[in-house]
Amino acid sequence: MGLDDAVSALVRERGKHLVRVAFQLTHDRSAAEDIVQEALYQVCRSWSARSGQPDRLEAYVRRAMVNEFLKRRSRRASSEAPTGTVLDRPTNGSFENLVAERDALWRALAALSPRQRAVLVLRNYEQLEDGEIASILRCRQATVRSLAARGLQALRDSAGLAVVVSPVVAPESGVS
Amino acid sequence: MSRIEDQIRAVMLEHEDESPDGSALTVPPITRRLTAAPLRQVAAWSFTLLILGAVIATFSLRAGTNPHAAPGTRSPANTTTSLATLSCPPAVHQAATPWVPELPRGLNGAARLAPSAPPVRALVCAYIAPQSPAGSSGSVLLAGDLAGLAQELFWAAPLPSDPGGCNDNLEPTDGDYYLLGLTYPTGTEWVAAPGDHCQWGSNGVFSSQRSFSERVSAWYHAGHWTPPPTNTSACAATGVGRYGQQTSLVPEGAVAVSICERAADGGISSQRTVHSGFSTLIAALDQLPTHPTTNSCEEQADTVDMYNLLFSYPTGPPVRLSVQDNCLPAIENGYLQADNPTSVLPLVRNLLHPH
Repeated sequence: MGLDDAVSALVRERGKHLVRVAFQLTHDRSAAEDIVQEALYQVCRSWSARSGQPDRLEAYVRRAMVNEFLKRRSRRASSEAPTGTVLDRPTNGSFENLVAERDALWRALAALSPRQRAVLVLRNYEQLEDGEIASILRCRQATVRSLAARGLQALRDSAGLAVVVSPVVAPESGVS
Repeated sequence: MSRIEDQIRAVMLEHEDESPDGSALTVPPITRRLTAAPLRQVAAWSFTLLILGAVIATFSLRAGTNPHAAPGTRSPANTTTSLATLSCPPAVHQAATPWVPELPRGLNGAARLAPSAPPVRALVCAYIAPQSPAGSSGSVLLAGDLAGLAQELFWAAPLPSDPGGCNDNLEPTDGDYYLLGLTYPTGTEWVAAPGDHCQWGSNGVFSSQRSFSERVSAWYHAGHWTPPPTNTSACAATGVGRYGQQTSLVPEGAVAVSICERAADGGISSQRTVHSGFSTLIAALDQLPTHPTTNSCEEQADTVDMYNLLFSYPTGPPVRLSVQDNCLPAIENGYLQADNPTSVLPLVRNLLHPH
């Protein structure tokens, strides 16, 4: 399979997933598509030079996506304010509170540093091993573990998110 | 996975349907490498492509040969050369592997990137992309002694079997391309030095680990060979590679070794250069069983002691070696790895901190 066919197949079969990964990174619909598109261009340009294997195309695109995300976040970091305003009240396990807590967690994720968020997305959404994440971020596995630990601690430290580390309460169970 | 990570995944899955469906993605053009650029650079690269012919047509030869009028690319079979007058082809052929106008003639091009003997003539052909900061296209016959140039190319390390990934980000000089036309008493060869940071150097038969584009660019602008930046500190060594590393952790002939101890945060803990007393270290390294590198090691503990070693030679580039504690394989030179550092680490530490 040539690169043209491999890229076409990747876009057709995995494009939706790649955009979803990018959305987890950016929390922004248009930025997600833009990052994936740009990653595709970058990989296609460098692909032939590396005699790359088509079966690794998705991994290359994923790496380019993360690089692009980090690059953009770095450029914007000085002008952005954290968006992770979270709950500051305890939960009573009600459905409304559970939804609010999940929403708070989603926003707290957005407030993490780009590298911490990238690690948590690659770990928890993509479910990659730390070694793969280290390869993508070009750092040591110990650094991945450190970024993850700091990210998780930041989430735990977020006001109102203490409930997140407590047992999950199904809304219909009535357990409090 | 911890409970909070379960929660994180659940939240991520809850929000994934908010993402676009990817239907707006387009397949980038791939047929010509210069067009396959990021969206915001498409205009620039398209411009590059469109005016490549114009660049070629107006390609002025500083060396005094006639400008080439015909745009387009040539295959090696169509290129005519003679021993006395290698001349720049009007265009370079952007391809998956570095392109040269012609394979080595009258030389053993497979053995090394270039012979050890200096050429009698060295012609640099520079094909500079319009947006590149590297100046303008042209050519120049290098003046002066070419012995240094010969040694630099002769000691070029070969391209590893797995060159690993390259940074996916475009560099401003990625569209540049250099050809070095070398004429010897017994033959000729071209050395390609693509500006593309993902490519490597080649004479059409032997491929080198490095592209040499930065070096050839420096010669092009200086009009003569210039020595490479002095690289004697293991704490600062980057991009070095010496022929012989593919078969030996430290090729013979080293006259000095610089040792750099890295702190856990990547900073420098200590460094020292010694010019004698390291033969035992080399002997210990020579004793180690080696295998091709995987370009990584698996950490065995949170604390990893890391030493960078740089072995210098009278001529040619130095050899960089990393020795790590608590990471397997522990020793690496870019081509080979050795697993067990037990016999080597005490020697490294003794050289770094002599009693």
